[in-house]
Amino acid sequence: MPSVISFREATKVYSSSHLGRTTKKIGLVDFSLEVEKGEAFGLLGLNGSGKTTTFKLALGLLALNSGTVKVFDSPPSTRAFYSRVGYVPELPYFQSFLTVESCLKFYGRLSGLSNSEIKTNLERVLWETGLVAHKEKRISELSKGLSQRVALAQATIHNPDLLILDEPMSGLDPLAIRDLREYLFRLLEDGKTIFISSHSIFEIEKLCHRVGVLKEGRLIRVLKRKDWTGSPGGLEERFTEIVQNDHLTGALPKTSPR
Amino acid sequence: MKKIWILAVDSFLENIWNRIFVLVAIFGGLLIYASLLFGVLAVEQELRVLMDSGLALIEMVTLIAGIYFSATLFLKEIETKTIYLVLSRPLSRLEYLLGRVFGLILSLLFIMVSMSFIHLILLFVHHWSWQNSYLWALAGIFLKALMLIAAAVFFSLFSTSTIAAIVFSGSLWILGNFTQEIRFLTQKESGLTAILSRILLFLFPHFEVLNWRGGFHEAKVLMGASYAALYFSIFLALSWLIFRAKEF
Repeated sequence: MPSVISFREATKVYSSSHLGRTTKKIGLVDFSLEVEKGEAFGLLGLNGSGKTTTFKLALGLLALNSGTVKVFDSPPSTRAFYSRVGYVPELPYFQSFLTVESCLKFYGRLSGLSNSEIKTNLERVLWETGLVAHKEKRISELSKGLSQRVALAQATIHNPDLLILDEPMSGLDPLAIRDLREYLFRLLEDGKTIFISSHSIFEIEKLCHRVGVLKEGRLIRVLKRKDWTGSPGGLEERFTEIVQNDHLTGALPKTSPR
Repeated sequence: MKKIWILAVDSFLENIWNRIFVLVAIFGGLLIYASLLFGVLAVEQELRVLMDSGLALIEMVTLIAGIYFSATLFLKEIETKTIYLVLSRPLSRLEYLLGRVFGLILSLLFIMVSMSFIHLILLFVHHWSWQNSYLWALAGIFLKALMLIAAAVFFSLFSTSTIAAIVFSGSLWILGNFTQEIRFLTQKESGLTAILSRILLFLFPHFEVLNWRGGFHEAKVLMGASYAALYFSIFLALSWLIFRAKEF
């Protein structure tokens, strides 16, 4: 299987200065990972373990200090790359004055779709995300679950090959989570690649082919589905065991970052 | 170009929707109404007072709105994460920057046109007859606003708080109205202080070259417009240099 995302010894250190004093904080350390075409890869980790940093690096929103990241065999900065990726940040905000339909049209236009493509794709994503009945509602009128559906719809309106989803189940009720899961399964059936993080281990367990466990910026283990399907306690037990038994603390890399 | 326009219209509509924008428009209307009262007090010079105070208030409201919208533009988008949804699309950071800035310009034009409309009604009610100098005065105010929003956007890109960006931009506005006085003071200085003062003076916007209430004077207008365009372009270019390397 060809790789869609490829991290090689990627290191990201955040630096901030205040009153002449520079503070450094680890984002990712020597992170290497290949995400294959058509797979659902989940990132699990405690808060601040580097999940969002990984996604932002894959999207070109952050720059690496050392190492490389390639998505579709090129650095994540070209227009061609952004045409092929859909992103849902954690707790996204949409302009409250827009209706669901106008919001999706806005993101469709920014993705470079023509008017006829927007019309066709809009109907598709509204139907797929269950937003048809809500398309004329303003964003300000939507519940959290419906807003999350809008987030997914904007990420898929341009029919991307890769979806990067940062905590897409955050704050959703059980029915909304089930709908979202079914939608993601349909996308996988269509051959899309999904790179996802969630605190809901149960959902990651159901959806993902492989899971990476992050701790303090380090990828400490990559698990395949077979690693948790047969084990008692499933993925949750494996995750807890891995995180608790890892005693290496995050440290700044010895090589000085670029 | 198409994406710049899409973003500009989006910013414009958001500002229209924003209650603060409505408040500013009401504020402008009320102040112009107050200028009518000043006119009543100055019976002999009623029209002149109405004209001058109205234009001064239009300028003040436009520039305050310009500073506020520019200083909050990117910080708000970063805070709400809207910027991630836009920058993860096939568009360059330059397109994004220009789109948002042109959206601001459209918003300020809308504010100015709305307030001028109210002002003109008041003037015509007082039997004022049309003079082209009114349009030149508005053009001067608009160019001042352009200079100020370019500077405010620049400050907002390296400020971590909205208040800091507003304070920087507001100070620039105040200093820009006193450049002649500052120049006079720098002439009295010597040595390193004089050099530093002159450098700072060069950076301040020289708003006096855009005071066109006296009407159209070709050389003055050409020089003022060129100066404003250059100032706007330099700050926008500096903003782009910061923005293209900025991490989110």
